[in-house]
Amino acid sequence: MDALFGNLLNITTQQVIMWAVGGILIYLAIKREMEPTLLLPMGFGAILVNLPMSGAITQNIERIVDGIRHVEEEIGVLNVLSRAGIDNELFPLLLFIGIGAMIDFGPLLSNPRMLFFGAAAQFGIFFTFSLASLLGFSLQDAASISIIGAADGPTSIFVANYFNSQYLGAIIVAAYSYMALVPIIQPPVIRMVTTKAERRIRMKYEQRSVGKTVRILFPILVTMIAGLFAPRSVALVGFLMFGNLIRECGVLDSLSQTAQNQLANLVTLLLGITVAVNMQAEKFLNPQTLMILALGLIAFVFDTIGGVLFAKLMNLFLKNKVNPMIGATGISAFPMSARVIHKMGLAEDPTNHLLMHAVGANVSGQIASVIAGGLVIKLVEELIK
Amino acid sequence: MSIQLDQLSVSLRVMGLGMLGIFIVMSIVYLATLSISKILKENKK
Repeated sequence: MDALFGNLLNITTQQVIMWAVGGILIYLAIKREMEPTLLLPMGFGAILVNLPMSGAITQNIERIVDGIRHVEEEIGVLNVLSRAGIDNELFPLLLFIGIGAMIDFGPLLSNPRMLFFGAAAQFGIFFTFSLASLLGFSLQDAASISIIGAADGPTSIFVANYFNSQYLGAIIVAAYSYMALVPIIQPPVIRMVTTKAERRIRMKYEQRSVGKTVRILFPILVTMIAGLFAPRSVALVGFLMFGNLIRECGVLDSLSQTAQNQLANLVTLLLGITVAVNMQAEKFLNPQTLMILALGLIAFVFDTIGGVLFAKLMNLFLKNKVNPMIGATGISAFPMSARVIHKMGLAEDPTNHLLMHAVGANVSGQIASVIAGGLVIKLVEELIK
Repeated sequence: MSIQLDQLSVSLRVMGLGMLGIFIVMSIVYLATLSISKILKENKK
């Protein structure tokens, strides 16, 4: 009977709590359709790794051979995948090729000043970095936590892994959950820092065609410029822009389609479930996880505030005013944030269509968040020398 | 207390340099994009 039921006695309260956490993530993915491509595999993975003596993760098994007790390490498949794709940052980088191939920089290239909103909306990252280090996290962990504000999963995984953060599981759960919650987080924050009159500012959109040569040169330029200033970001920016170059060159349609579909789907499938290795109860259930969830929310809030206040600052000098809500779309949560602001603009004035401006700022945020990740790595490394 | 002040000082420096760094990089990208667009337009003429 012991052979059948013995393992039941190994169940801990912490593991049961993690089953509930996994269940919540699966519920949010299916019922609420919140980032299902990642929350569902993460939720299921959280259950897999929190079953006692789970064969999905590495276990130390006691065996008696010829009367002598041996402890053997049985490598779990999720640890194999983690070593193959998370520990060396391979999975997030491959995913970035797919994401780059999906992005159309046209709205940004036809109105390049949107680049500055992308920059301003990374304020939350650096604000949260200061707050996290004040709360007692090491500089490396503070950097890993603050990058939740990049609103970009691969960048969060890349930076957290680079600094070997023990909080990788909590950081990823926070990053993807808050990205899905952008329609709930941003509107009240925007209303708090803007007036009704400011939200009703109309912005004219002039359709400007963007030449193919500009579209081809842009990803190459961004990679070189970002790489020179933040060399640690070359892999992140480079893979993102490589994906975009495949899309824009016009001679690699099948590769572009493969990157956008098969590659992105395959990597997402493996990434989601592999990340769950960091959701074992003893690593995940601690007071720091709650603090990280709170800090992640603060990062998103201050990203929004930073973008909006920058737009209001620009309006002091501009003849044709910018609707400050556009500043909020400088976060990397694409295209969710652009849609949220467009909807808010229509709610204030049904004839005010802000979508194309919002999309321009939103894709700019994608670039800025990756550069921010590289800068955070470089600055923390330099300053702790 | 002095360790916390050191940590605060480093984190504020990261905040300042980080925001400055992003704006510098994005400004260079902005100027480069505008220049290329202008050059290509003039070549077309």
